Amino acid sequence: MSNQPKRLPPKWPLAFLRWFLKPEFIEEIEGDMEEIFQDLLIDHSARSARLLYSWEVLRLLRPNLIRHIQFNHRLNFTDMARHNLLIILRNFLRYKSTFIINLIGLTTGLTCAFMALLWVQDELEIDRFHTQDDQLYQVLQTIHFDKGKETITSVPAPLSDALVAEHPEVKSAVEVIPPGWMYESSIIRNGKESVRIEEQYVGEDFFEVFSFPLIAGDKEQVLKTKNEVLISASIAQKLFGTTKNLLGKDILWEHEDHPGSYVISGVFADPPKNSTLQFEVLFHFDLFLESFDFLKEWGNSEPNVFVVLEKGVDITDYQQKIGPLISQKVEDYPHTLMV
Amino acid sequence: MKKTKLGEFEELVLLTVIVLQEEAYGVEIKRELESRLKNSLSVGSIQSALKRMEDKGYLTSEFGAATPKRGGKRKKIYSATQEAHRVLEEIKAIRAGLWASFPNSFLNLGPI
Repeated sequence: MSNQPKRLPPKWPLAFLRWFLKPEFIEEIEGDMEEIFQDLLIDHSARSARLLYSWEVLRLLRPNLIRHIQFNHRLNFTDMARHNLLIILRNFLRYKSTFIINLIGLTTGLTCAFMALLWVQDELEIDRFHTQDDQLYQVLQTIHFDKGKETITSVPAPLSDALVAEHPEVKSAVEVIPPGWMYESSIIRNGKESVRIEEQYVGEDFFEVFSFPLIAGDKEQVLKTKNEVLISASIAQKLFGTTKNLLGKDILWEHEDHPGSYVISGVFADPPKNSTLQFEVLFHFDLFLESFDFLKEWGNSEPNVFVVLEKGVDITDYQQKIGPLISQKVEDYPHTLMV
Repeated sequence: MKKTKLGEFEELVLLTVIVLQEEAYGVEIKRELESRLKNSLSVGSIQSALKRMEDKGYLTSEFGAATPKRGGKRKKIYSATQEAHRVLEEIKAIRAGLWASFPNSFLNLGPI
């Protein structure tokens, strides 16, 4: 072999090898590679020896053999930050009034932004606790005057039942007369204990439509009769000193239109703060209706009505359908509904 | 064998280095191991194992003679440290212990 002309390893792989290897390994590994190349030449043609050599070079690409990729600009973060801080403090001392104005402006701005954020977040929480929240709507009525129009929450009393009966889109509906709507506050008592309340009248399906939890009583069974009453946990505490074992007990209601004794059929947890409806005592809607016979007509409006639509009902389509509902029931009734 | 961290291939290379003594440089280690394992190895795998073990303190190295076959580049001769010998003994003892604990029915097959 020593007589043969010496053959050299291929140029490009060799240059590549010199480039990627850690400098301290180059002499050793390049020598090893050359020795291997000479060995290859014994058994292989020059061409395939070069190919095998190149392959071997590629197989040298290992994490602990290749040189580190170096970045020239290493940033000195701590010193830089310290320097910037110093500059900031010097500027504060030099331009005191500007500093104060900026400081006040920024703090006020940030405070306002955070307050607005908290407020919006709070608003978004309203009524979210209802499990059917995305299907829950209130029916509103738009009164058309000669000039202009006004939208109000009062709708005819027969509407709720009619919606459930006639519109398959409506899963359930309920009438609500909010506290203080018609009557001044009144007194309910249990023996010597008494409390001043503003009652709310609701239809049968109140606990079907809304998700106010009942502490005592069955939501399927309550609000079936006119002589029952449901009280909140805090009213129960005031009258009885407890929220337990109150079902079937009587309370006395001193009321101008329908005074008398009422049976407790349920106790509900106080409505949460983020609920639109706030109430402490519930009576049956029919009780209310008894005192205002004229409300049974379609032409008169008083209660608020809330509906739960079936899943998948397109609300814009349904608006078209519910809009002229009252004018179909009463002649010459120009007012429209919306949800 | 707590925290000795010697891989299987590293162990083979280390043993080869000890066997080859003065001749323990890259290409020779490769040749020796290839003939024993009856398998071809890349320079990269040998070199990276050598460098790793040098970092771990199992090997030391110094430049040896240059030969014309190497294009005038010097060899790097590796030798094992005391630590390497200790770790190898440890591994051997653990393996021997395991073999000794083999159930009899398996012992009849004999070690591989």
